[in-house]
Amino acid sequence: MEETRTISIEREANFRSIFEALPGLYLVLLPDLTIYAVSDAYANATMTRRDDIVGRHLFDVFPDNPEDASADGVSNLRASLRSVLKNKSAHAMALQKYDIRKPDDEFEERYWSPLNKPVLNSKNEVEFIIHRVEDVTSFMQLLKEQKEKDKMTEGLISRSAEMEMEIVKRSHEIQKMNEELEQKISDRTLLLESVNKDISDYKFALDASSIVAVTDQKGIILHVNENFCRISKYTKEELIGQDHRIVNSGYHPKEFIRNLWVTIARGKIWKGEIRNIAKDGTIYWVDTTIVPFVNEQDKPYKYLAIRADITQRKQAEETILKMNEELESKVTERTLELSNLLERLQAMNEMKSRFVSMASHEFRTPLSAILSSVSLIESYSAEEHVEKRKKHVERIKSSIKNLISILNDFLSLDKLEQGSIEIAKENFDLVGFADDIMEEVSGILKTGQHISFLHSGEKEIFQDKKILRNVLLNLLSNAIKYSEENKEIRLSTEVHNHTVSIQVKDEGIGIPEEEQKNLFGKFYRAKNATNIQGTGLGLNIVKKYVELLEGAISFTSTSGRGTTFTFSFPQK
Amino acid sequence: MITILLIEDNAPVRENATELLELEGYKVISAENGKTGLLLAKEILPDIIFCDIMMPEADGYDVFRGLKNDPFTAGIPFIFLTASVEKKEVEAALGMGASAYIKKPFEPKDLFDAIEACLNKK
Repeated sequence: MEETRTISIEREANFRSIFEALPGLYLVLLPDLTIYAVSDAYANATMTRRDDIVGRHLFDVFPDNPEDASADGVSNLRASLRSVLKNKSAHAMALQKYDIRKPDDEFEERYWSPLNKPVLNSKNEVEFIIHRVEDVTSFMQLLKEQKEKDKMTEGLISRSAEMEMEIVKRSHEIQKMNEELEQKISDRTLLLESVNKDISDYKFALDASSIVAVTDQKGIILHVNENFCRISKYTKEELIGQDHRIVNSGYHPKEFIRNLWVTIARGKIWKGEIRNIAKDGTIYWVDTTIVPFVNEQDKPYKYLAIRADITQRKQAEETILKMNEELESKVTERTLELSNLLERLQAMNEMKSRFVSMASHEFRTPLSAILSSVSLIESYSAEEHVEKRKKHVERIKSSIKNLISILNDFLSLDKLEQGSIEIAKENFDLVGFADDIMEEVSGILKTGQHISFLHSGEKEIFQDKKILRNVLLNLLSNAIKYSEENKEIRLSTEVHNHTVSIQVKDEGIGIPEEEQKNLFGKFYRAKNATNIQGTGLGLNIVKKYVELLEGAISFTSTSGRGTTFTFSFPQK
Repeated sequence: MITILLIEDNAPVRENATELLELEGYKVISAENGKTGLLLAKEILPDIIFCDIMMPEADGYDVFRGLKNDPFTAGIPFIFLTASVEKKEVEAALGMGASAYIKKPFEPKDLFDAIEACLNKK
């Protein structure tokens, strides 16, 4: 008994294995449409795994393709299964499109031929439904392809008929076109004849009016007209085959020529004015237009140069240009002269105003003394006032002397500037001369001031006494004027190595450093001297006198400490 | 007696003006530069001051400013004597508040008239 059961279980297991290995596509369903068993072939064909689908509802495992709106797999299969359950007999379904969901959830188009067959138990109830399918997808595809091929064949047949008709139609058209073409050719021929006539007219006009040359792409002359020969003074024979540079004057810069060639080599028209040289060396200017003739590749193979003689115009232009340049340089020159003149005028103007202000002060002060002395003399009319009258007469005289000395300064300056002073040299004793001058200025020494004198070397010199006196008087009176009371003034003279040197040294107010460079200027007065009387002429005259003696003058000075003037001149 | 301070660096002019004013009956005290003039003015407090402009050691303007800055001397009539004809100098003098200016060379009457005018104002 036990053994029998064991054999029976083993057999059952064997049956299952046999079922699963069946070459057909089998699915066994329970009456509630739950999947009970599946053959390997079925699982393969539907891309499912047994373990995933056994025990699950049929339509849960195989739903309709949601992408296919016309999908009717589920409803047709359900209807077939219902009929099997109801009639308990097999039902073969019509060929059915039933897409299969792939493991990646995409659906694959599939066609099936299903057969559903019930398995009844002893009570004649449906125990199982065997669902067998055949995958007819490949067959369906073949069928489809065949259908398409048939369609194509049909199309081809109808097309060939159409084409035949078309060919007939076309040949008519071509015939018509041929006729038209012939007409056109004849028209063109007529037109060409007239164009040829035009061209020859144009050529005639061009040759008559312009200088024409044709060159190849390298610039070798292929053709020239009469005008070209006339202006270049070459014969046609001399020109044909020559490089066009035969008339180059070398006047234009490289850049200009390069631009010309670049332009025409690109197939563009170049226009410009060129200076050329004729055979005999004469220069001529031509207004030039170069037209390139291009081949199919747009490469120039010929150049046509049309020129007009503009030599006269260019020469006129050059003359004007030259005149303009000359004019400009003249204007510049004149402007410079004018600005120099203006500067001199300004300097003179400044000098004039300095002169006026100085003259006003220097004249008005002695004039005040004179005028008031005259008034006082009038007041002292009584006999006993004779002394007072005398005093005022003296004062008037002295003031007039003062005025005269200022005038003399002006006159000296004028003479010096005119160059009309004549030098009259004589031999004299320098020491005696210095003593005389010290005596002369002693009258204007301030209280406590005194002059010391020192000499070394030869005593006798040969010089213009008057000029030397003027210079020395000027320097000494300056030293007195610009020194305070009780200060010493040192005069020293030296004759050595054919040179006479004279030095005047004071302990006066000095000359501010920034003013030293202007000190010898006309009417120039240092800032610390503006309230001290003076014309600003003295040192200017001194310098001119020293220069007249072929000598030189210089000074050193410290503001507030004193000044030393040194001048020297050559001695024979 | 009216006291006049005369500040003038040029000796002949200073002496002549002093003489003219004294003959007219004024008491005259004179100074030969601006520095002395300023000191004297503060010391004697004159009734009228005549002052040259171009002088060494403090010019006329310095004297004028010095006096105007001192309440004791600020009110003293101040008359510039000027050898300059330049307008800007004359204008500067009056612009500072001087009572008058007299141009050199001057007539005695110019001095006397200026004194009268100042005294009348007082």
